[in-house]
Amino acid sequence: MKPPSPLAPDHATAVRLRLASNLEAVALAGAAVRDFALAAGLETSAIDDLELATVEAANNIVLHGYGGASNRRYALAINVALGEVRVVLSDTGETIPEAVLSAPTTAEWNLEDESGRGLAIIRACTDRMEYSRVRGRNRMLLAKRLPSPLPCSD
Amino acid sequence: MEFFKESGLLRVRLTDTRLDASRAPSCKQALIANVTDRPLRVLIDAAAVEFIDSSGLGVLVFLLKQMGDGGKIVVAGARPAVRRLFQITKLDSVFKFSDSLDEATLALGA
Repeated sequence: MKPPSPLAPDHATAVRLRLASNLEAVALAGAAVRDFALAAGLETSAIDDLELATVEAANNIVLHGYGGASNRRYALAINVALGEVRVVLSDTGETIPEAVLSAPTTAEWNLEDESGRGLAIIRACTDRMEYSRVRGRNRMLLAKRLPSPLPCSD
Repeated sequence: MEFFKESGLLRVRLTDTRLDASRAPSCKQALIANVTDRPLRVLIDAAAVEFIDSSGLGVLVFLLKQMGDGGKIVVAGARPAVRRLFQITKLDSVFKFSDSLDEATLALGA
């Protein structure tokens, strides 16, 4: 049997939010991910990374996907599966162009650029990032591996 | 964001706990209004900042670009999550870090 795609709707989702497309609400997305990741057992630095990746992804939706329109909505789902904390953001805005998805890497940055670092930051802050458009919705998965349990010492 | 000019040194105190996309435009306007003379030594007091994203970082890059040639910029009191963003983006090669204001002031030769 084919395993379910991590981007497919997941009945085991632990947290699901619908957020207004404004930058003030993005902090709520970050806070929800932070609280969930802490409860799930991610380490502090990994929590920081996942919050940052989520905020960058949400900023992209608000600013680029919806072009700054504040009357739209996007969804945020957070769960744990197969040893990962997974965050899925989905929206119905403009899709990220392939050329933007594939570049630039951090090595190609001009240090004086004031913007354009979001996607590379997302990649650097996650163990796995996937992006797709399915049935008119853009879906971005951000995954961070949970630490392995310590072996028993007896 | 607060600004202090003292003996050739511009000190910029970041007062909000977040420096993110929702605050970046007003922070940039504050820089435009207050940084007018291409300073050579800038100390950013980041102790209050708990979270920064790429838009917030862009504000600090804008500040960097307002400085005179050969200027030096030091970030004091940055928390690990703040430093991490500078490392990811390789901007830690331009912005220097100090744990305290005193250390940063010394590093700037003030």
